[in-house]
Amino acid sequence: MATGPDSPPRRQRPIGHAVAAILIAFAVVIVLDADGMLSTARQLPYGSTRRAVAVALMRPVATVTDALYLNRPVQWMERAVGKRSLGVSGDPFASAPNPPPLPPPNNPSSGGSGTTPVRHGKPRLTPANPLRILVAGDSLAGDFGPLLQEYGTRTGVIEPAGQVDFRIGTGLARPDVFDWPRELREDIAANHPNMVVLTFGLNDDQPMTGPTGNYLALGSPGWIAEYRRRVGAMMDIALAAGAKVIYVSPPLVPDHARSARYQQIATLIAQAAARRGPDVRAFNTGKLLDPSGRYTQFAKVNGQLVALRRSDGVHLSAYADQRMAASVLRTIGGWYRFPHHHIF
Amino acid sequence: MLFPTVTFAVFFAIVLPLNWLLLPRGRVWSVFIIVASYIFYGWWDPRFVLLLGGMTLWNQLMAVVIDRAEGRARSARLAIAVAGDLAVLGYFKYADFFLVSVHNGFARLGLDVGVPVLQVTLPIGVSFFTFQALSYVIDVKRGIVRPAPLIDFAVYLSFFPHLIAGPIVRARELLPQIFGRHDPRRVDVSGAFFLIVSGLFKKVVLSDLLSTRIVDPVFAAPSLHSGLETLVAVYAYAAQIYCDFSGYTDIAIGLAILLGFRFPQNFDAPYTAVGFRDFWRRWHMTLSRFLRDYLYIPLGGNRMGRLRTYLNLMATMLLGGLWHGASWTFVIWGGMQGSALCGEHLWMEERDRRGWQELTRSRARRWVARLLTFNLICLGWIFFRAGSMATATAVLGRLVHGWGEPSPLVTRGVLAATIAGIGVQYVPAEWFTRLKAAFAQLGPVQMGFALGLSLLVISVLGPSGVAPFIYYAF
Repeated sequence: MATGPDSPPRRQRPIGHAVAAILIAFAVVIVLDADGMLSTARQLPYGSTRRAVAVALMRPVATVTDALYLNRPVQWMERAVGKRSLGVSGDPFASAPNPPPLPPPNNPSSGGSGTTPVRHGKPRLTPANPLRILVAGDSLAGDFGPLLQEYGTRTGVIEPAGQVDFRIGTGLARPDVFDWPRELREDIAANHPNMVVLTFGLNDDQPMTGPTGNYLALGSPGWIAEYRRRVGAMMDIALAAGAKVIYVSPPLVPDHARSARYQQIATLIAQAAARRGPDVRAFNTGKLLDPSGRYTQFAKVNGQLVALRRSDGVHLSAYADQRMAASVLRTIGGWYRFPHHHIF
Repeated sequence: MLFPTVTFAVFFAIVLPLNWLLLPRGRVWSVFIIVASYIFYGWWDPRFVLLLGGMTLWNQLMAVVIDRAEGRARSARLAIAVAGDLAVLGYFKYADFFLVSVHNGFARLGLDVGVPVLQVTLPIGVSFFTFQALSYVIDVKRGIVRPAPLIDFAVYLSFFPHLIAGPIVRARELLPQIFGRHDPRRVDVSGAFFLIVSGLFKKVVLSDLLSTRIVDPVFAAPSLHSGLETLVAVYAYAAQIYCDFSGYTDIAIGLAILLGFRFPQNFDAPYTAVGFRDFWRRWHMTLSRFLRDYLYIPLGGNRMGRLRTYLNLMATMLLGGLWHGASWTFVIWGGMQGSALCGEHLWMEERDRRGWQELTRSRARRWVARLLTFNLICLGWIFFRAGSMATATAVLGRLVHGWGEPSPLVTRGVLAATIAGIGVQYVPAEWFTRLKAAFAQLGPVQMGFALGLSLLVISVLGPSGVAPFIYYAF
């Protein structure tokens, strides 16, 4: 398709026509897809004026259009292309199974930097009895998840349990944007993994609402307790399906304040994992890539400097993805024996 | 701000009427559009607004001092201006690449020289607005444009429709429009809407679908995927990058038209090219002409003998590759483009010398040339897309060895989107002209309904969430 302004004479119009057409187009979208617009409004950060205004404007419109069945055509179209509402209202984390009792005191702690204490009597994985890994989470899962599956496949005894399920810009803070508990249950039901690797946190440094709809400021005691509960709920969903869990925390970023919040999230993940015993491990990405505790873009490997981040400074480089995947595989090695000499 | 978001739609709905209300008021409009553009840019990271402002002041200062100088002093001052701009680009984009390369070069010799790295984050769009600033100071030195008032130059550099990912608009194209009269009664509204909707469709429906369904998974872990999946992923990436970048350009041009400005064309059915010269006349046309006019020709172009022509071509394309990113994969991609252009030149010289017919004279031969060009372009895209040489090699390996395995990612949706992304370039231009003409006949109310329904369909067909445009990273 040739793009750009082309030559044939076309009707030139007053700009007022454009403004009118844009307003009409807005009206069409708002009336026919009020649910989508309300959902978009709700996705704005909790506590922000923009969100309050947008939701206040869209909620009555959504109610009226629903009563008049005006939202049905878009719903039909979405159903026809297999699309569904991604968010949820209420508390999707509430239906997770109860957390298991506290582990015995000598339970080995999580392999934060990817190093895992060797345990004796580990079961051996075989081609007849393979480990099926499901990877799900935010964009970090999309970065290193496929590589983890690839490395696993190379062992001959670890296989992917479905495609990596990653959703850009999602997390646990906003189930109204994306209902991860439901998604994880469906992934597990469809793919029957016995190992679930979860990555959440990159998009979770924002206010939340609690189970009763109460506002929780980022970093407040209420926020901390609620986020830990959500992390635990995700772990419990996988545990209830008989899978072991590796829960990966977000990496550090150039913004110090944001990095500090990610470190707090990593701590909450570690606490939730420790509470759930030996079948859950917290994987601290910050400790793996930035062992000094400070953000770094390059690592020295055999004397050579290798990039750990892409040009945006946030997302991981190909080398960091490899390192993450290999480290997570090592963590799996804390549970199982499998051939890995050609990977590490 | 990303174009395909509600936030941007609201932003533009506010900017559009204010733009036309203020346009007759010269300076007031300039201040308004600069503020709007800086809000648009600062939405990602407000600190980068300082960089944009600094670049504006520096280039304006240098344009004025260049303009006041005579003879060699003009060239000297231009050299300082260019060095300043390249220093900014070099610091943000290439410093760490260079330092790491030096460090690793010594390390291979067994020397640890301990080169300190800067750990700089790349400001979005810096490559684009640096090139625009360069075109301004160079054109001032050449006497093609006079230094504009600072406020007008600030509008030129920051004008939000082109700020992040082009098209690379030259000062001589945009500045006269800023000074000129804008008639609010004569705007190509239907053409603008057509471009915006087609751009959104290409980006939100085709590009994002291909990216999430096949391209990203295959390039993330090539060895997990079959030869068929890999082959389809390579073609899908060809479609994705075209839809993504030309989609962005369509939206940018459409927005500019609604604001009363014209941008140059950036794409012209590039996958219908019958050779690499043809391809570069059709792909990212504003970058091609920038490289031609500000690099290739000043290097001597084809005026200094055969060998020098080839060297100039290679240098231009290598630097063009490096412009896309500080990585050896981009250098290799640029090298492949340069080699292909040199090869084509050589072939044409040989053909002319022997008096052979042009290969593209017959329809069948033209198709052979098209297919050959397209597949070589796709080969280059492997290096362009792969984050590392290892990934590129792995993808190439799977194209050879991975056949006969299951290919669950090759779905009807992926094939349809790939064919649509590539095939749309073969649709006769008259069809689009007729469609646009029919659209232009609609009244504003009908047009609004058509626009709204199109946006709904795009929203329903597109995946949830919008990935950033590929060229934002450059």
